[in-house]
Amino acid sequence: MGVTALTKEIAFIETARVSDIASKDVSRLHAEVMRTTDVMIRAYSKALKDPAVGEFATPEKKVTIVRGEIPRVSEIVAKEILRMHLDEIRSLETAFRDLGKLVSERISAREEFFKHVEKLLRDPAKLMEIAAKIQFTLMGETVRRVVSLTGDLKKWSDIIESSDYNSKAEAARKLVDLIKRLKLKLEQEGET
Amino acid sequence: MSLEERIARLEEIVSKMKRVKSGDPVMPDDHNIFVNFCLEAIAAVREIYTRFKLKTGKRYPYVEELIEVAEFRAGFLEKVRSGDIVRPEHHNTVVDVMKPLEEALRALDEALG
Repeated sequence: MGVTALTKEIAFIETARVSDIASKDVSRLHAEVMRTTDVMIRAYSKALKDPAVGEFATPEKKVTIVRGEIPRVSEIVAKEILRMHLDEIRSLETAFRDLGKLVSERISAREEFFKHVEKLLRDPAKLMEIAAKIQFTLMGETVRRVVSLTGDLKKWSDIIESSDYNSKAEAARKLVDLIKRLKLKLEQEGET
Repeated sequence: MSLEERIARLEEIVSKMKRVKSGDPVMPDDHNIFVNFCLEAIAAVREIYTRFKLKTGKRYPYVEELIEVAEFRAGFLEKVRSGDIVRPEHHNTVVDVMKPLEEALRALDEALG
């Protein structure tokens, strides 16, 4: 199916483009997450490192009893934050591994595709054959030129179908009608 | 051969073109009939153009060029024999010959109004 093959090519280019945009978006998102995490970590660290007990620990308030509890609470909070942070990193790593795999698959597929395109570009005749398949009319009939490719490009080839034969025959009939009409016109031209 | 005879011949060829459906076997004549058609059509279009020049006294280099293109491409037409495979090139050459003929006829049709 010529047109189907071409539609697939276009769809593939579209997919590659969408994948590119998606990759960029994910990278941007990741950068934002990292930035936010950084800010959060800095804020938490500051909060924990700062006189952890803040104003409560001031000698004036006599916080000797509290002092033992607050570090414990802050320890729990710190552990919790660290766990959350590690979880986040782990999930991000997994996400990125998957994304990396996906992107590398897409890139290798795209490379493969562009290799074919490159080959085609070197052969304008073949390229024209494909281009002509998009729209080619003969006496008002949509007629296909059938692409025959060899080697690695064989998968892009197609076969002559019954519709190709029928539309060619119909175009031939119309061509004969046009010849007859012109003959008549020329005869009338002579009379006038 | 006169134009009238050529047209009669073309009509005879076209009448033999059958309508095929998916799965029908491709016979050598299914392709060869188009080769014959193209050769006859080129001669007919050339004859039409000659008559056009005689009647109008005008020359159309564009039409001449198109006829020459069709003739040149017709040089690549190949007939097939029983057992041969009808390749995409066979089909494409027929289409490529018919296209400039169509263009030439349309240009003449337009010129005649």
